[in-house]
Amino acid sequence: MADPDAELVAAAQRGDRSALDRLLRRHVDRVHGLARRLMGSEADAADAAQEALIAAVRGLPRFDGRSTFSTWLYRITTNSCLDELRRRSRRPDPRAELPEPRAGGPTVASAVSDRLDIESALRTLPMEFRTAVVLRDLCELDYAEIADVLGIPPGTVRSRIARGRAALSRALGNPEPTTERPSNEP
Amino acid sequence: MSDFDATPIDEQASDLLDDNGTADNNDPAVVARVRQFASQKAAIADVDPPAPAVRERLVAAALAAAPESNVIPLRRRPILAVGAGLVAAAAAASLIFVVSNRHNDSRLSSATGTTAAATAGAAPQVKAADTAAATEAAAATTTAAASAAAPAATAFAGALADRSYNSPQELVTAYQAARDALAAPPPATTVSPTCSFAGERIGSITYQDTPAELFVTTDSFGHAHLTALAIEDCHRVIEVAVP
Repeated sequence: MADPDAELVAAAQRGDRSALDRLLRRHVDRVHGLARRLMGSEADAADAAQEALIAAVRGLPRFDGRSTFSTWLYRITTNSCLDELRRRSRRPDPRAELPEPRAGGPTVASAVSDRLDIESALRTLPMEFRTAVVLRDLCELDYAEIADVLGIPPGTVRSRIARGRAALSRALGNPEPTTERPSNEP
Repeated sequence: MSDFDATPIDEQASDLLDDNGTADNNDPAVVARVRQFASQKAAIADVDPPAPAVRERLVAAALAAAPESNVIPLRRRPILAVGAGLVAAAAAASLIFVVSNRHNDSRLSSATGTTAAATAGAAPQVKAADTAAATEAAAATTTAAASAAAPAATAFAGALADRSYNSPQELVTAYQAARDALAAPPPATTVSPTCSFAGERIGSITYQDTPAELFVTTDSFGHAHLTALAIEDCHRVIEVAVP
């Protein structure tokens, strides 16, 4: 797959600061969004995003294009978030409580509260599920790319995404599906 | 079943949402679950962008962390070659002014030797003792510029020198071809080794049967000018701008 950032990356690697600036601006919102979803707060997200972008700029001369630039950048951002969480020895915010389950399924009216609740619900997920779901649903990486970012097999990615989504649905108070036959991660 | 297990319906719904599955999408339970997951997905993707100030801070911090290898060395920028040329031209103009005042001679002297050392890389030898201090500083700048531009001048010499030309256009065409082939900026301005002329010496040529020294200068707009001075008496046998 051709990398839409290839030209900007090459120019930035040659020392073109204007290209580097454009490259950063092209991705800063998504990096911040990923950090926001993984870290759970604006302040922590800004810190992690800054760490990630600095690491990316410093590592850019070594970026060899084996993955797309965005996948490479998301890997750096994910690692930056995980490092930040480990460094602070922070568990998911203890003040964050599970949202009250709502009766019935999702409706248009519930979409707004979904948005408000999603951050709290995400915080209830273990990081391995949270990262897989967010990389898929926010960054739109495919399973192979997520496997590359997280260093796990694609089958495990698939399982983590399904389990993460199911857990998220429960945290949001959605009704359970009728069949209950648990599956295990490969 | 723990909080983090998935049912087969969850897996099918997740696969369907990601276009990865061959799951039965007619199962109402699966369809309902797909809708739930799709709603969650939209909520996850609907993340607020950073505030403009935060965005600028993030970009600025990252740019500030760019390693040296991400910065173009200033001396490699063509604009600096032009700048160096201008500095050298100013220095050379000072020298010419001093020399012409000293000798009060309207004709360019081929024997002044005051600036010959600049391109040769040695210390300039200014005859007039009372102007030595002022001209040394200027000539030192000129020498530095000449050294920086020396490789380009040498390259141009190989393409243009030791040949005969009979028209301005012929000379310009040869210069343009050399410039394009070398993909190099015009050499910076320095000082003639034999004549009091502010220009980068390319080499010896013959222009309309007159042996001459060919020089190139760069004006403030970055345009190159070719000047050939007769070896015999330093008079200008041709001066032409290169488009």
